Amino acid sequence: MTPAFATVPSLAMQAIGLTKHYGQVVAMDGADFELARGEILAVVGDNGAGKSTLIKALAGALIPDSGQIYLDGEPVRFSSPLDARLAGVETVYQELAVATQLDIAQNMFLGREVRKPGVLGAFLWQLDKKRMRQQAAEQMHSLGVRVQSIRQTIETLSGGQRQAVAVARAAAWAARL
Amino acid sequence: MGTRELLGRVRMQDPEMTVATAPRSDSDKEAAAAVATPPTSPRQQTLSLFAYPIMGPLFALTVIFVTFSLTTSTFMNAGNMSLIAQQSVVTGTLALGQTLIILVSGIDLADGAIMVLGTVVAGSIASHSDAALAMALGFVACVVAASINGLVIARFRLPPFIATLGMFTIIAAAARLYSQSRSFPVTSDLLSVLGSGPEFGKVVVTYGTMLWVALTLVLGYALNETPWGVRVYAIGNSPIAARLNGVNVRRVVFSAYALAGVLYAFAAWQALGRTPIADPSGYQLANLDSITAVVIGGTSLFGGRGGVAGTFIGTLIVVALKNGLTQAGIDSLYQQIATGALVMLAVGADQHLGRGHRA
Repeated sequence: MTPAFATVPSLAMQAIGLTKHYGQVVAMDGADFELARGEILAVVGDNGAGKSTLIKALAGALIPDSGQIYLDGEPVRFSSPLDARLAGVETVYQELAVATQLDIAQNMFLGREVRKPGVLGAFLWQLDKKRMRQQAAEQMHSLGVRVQSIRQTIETLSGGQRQAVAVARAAAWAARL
Repeated sequence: MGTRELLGRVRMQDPEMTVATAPRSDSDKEAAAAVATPPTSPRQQTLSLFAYPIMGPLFALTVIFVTFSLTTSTFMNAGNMSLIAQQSVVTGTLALGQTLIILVSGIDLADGAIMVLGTVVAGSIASHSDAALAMALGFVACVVAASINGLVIARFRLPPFIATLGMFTIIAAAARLYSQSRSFPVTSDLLSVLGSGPEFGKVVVTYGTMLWVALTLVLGYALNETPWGVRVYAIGNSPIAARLNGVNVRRVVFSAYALAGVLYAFAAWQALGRTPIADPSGYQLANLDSITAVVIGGTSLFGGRGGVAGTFIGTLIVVALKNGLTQAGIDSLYQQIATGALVMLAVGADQHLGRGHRA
């Protein structure tokens, strides 16, 4: 082993003993999870094995009944997707979680819209549409996704393009994983 | 999660997705991500027409104006236009609040009752106390009542139809109990000021009309130019997607109802300007009128689609139709039939287009 790799790779995310019940149904029973920095991990299993439940718990979309999640060794508690997101965890959901009647730029910035600088943004809350569209276009371009216009609504896109928007959004914002 | 890896898989799965090779023009940033070949399928064309949902209502309004201008001699003149505007302000202001609520996939059957409560509170207090205080308390009454709706719907997840139906009867009864079923003539200048305004020649442009236009513009700004507005549309479109994107759905839904309450308070003020009597049994069909105006204006009952510009036109359609049929000497019952048919047409169009889109 070279000196550069001598240190134990720190765990980017770790979960211990995650449990989730839906009434009588046990969706997840003491699941442990470890993800190293830079690692790509696939979670595999049968239908109903609890893959989605695990991911949702890690993404803050549901609150586990018990267990503990650690980010970079720090214990965290996500009570909403926003919490997870603020901690730098981005998720591409199965159902993609895009608002079909909003355009691409609006979807990429949904929940963290950019306001104009100065008085217009601070007091009138005016959106900086131009900047958001520009950044969204750059993001889509850098990921090699082509669409007619960044102002197209999601409902006019193909399934693959929709997926790309969801992925582009996660990639654009992901601070940690 | 390895987003890059995911993207790689996505790219392989979808052959449509290739690296953009469109020529980059520095002048047009959007072109950087766009491709120079826009396919024009029939579906695409329907969609581009649909991108301007205001065109349908605008067309209907034009037809109404042209028809009555040709068939009656009294419709098309400045005086009658001023009258149409004055007849529009109460329903129009209520409908602005209703639009907000329908945009977040709700409905408010209590808006008229809340407005009437506002007029009664303001009217009764003004009869023995300061008019400014009366108006302030009337505003408070409207906002509190509407916020209760917002609370039970956003926090306790009652279906909006049921929650506001309950509030409708509760508020209507409360207004009567509070006033002991009396009505209060309003003599205060402050409370009735919206019925007056500067005259141009013989035509009055009332302050109420100006307020209605101003409120429409302010709300249009809030819906189209602020983060809050984007979230309102996102929630109406897909509350789950909004939540997963970190939008506090409960808070935004509550804010829509509470803000609607402010608009109902303005509607109460408009009502006192129009008829300076606070009558607890007045405006009983105002809720349906407001919903009619919103729906005819092209806002989808599914939520997430439409806006206040459409509602403004929708209100004018309802009022101009009634006004014109009256000028033409047609029985008011036929007017109601015409309005009802228009609503069904508008909802039918919405249903049809909405379903096509969801497919």
